[in-house]
Amino acid sequence: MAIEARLGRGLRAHVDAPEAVNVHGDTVRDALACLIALHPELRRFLLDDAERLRPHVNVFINDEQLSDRTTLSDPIRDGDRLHILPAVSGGSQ
Amino acid sequence: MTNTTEAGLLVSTRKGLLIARSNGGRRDWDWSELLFGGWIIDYAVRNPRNGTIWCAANHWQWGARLHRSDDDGASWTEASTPAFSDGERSLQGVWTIEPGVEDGVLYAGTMPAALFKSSDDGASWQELSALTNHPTNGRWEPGAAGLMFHHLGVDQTDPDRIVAAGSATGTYVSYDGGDSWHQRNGGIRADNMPPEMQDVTPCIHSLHAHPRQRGRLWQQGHFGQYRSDDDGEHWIEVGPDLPGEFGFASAIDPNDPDVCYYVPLDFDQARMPRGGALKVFRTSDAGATFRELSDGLPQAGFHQAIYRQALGQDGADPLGLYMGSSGGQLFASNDGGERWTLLRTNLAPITAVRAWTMT
Repeated sequence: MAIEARLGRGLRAHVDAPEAVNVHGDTVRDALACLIALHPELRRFLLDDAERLRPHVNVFINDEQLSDRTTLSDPIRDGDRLHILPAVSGGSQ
Repeated sequence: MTNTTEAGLLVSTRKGLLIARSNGGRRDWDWSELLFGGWIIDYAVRNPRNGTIWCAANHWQWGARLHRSDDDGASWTEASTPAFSDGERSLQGVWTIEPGVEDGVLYAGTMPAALFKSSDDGASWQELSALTNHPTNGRWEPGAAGLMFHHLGVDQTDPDRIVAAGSATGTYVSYDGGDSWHQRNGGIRADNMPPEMQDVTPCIHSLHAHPRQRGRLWQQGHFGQYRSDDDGEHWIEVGPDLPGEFGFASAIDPNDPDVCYYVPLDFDQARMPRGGALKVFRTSDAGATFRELSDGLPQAGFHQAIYRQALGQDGADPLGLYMGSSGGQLFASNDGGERWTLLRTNLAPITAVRAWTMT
């Protein structure tokens, strides 16, 4: 059993990656590291050069929004779905 | 007069990049499709040393990127992007790229305000931290677009001399390749600061170091147009009679150090041409007098700005000038600004225009 990382359509418009990727880990940080290891081109879309989650990237664990955006310490378990979605932002763009 | 055989244009917009090509007449242009559609192009420039085109793309969700093309824009490769190593700052955008003197040397001005150098044609970048750590940096103040270095002058005869200007950082000059920097703002007005702090960190909107006269700088500032003959130790205000001290864009003629072009905008509370009339002004005598150049430009109802990188010149004689507006209009002149034609409309806001010619 694994954690299913699901990539939003807005993200997949820029990156050649499937909608769902099986990843492993005990925290969101672990899962994102696993995801980036499988699809390295995702790194620059998800993280800035200080390795922080980009401010307009939202992460949900099932139906709960990530609570720790700084260290990504939220725990996850096998069977969870990790939704990685671009925020509804950019109204002035 | 230059025997120009080919001309090129890079038009950066807030929705992508356009490339155009023309023959020496520079009247009819062949346009590319929109490249990097949906991405904000902060800047694009062609390195005259090797023909590489650099494109600084940005996206409010996905961050800043650099792309390069070694085949005139037919194909692109995502390049290494300047990155901060302190774990605190993160790159918000690349606002300018300038080639150095030696092969493979490039400089990039970024937001947040920093200057990066590459010695391997963009494969890797190192921050020139002596500028970032200058004792005056505590006074740097972001403008409406952020805090960044957006104009660089890299002396093509002296690799150690670099001029860097930003908003709102003021002007800095290095004579040792970036190992140390001198702040150079003498004589600049700064109505946003108390009288005793006028030359601390004025907001520079565009700045050019003339390639043929060492020490000759031109700038459009937040509060006035200026010339310097000594690398910015002393600035002389040249445009008090222009219709607006404010403005973003300016351009030099690389063939004549006494020539500079400005696009004045009404004062900083308006930021559009006075009376809705778009006018370019040229001095040919080092700022003593200015000539209005408005033939072919809209003279009523023009409520747009010309952004800081959006007046480009192609270096030919007669000089080609290319001016993009915040409303997505692109104007061009192939005779030094005497007559203008409208090349494109309905583009996204134009952030930068850079041009080149070949002989």
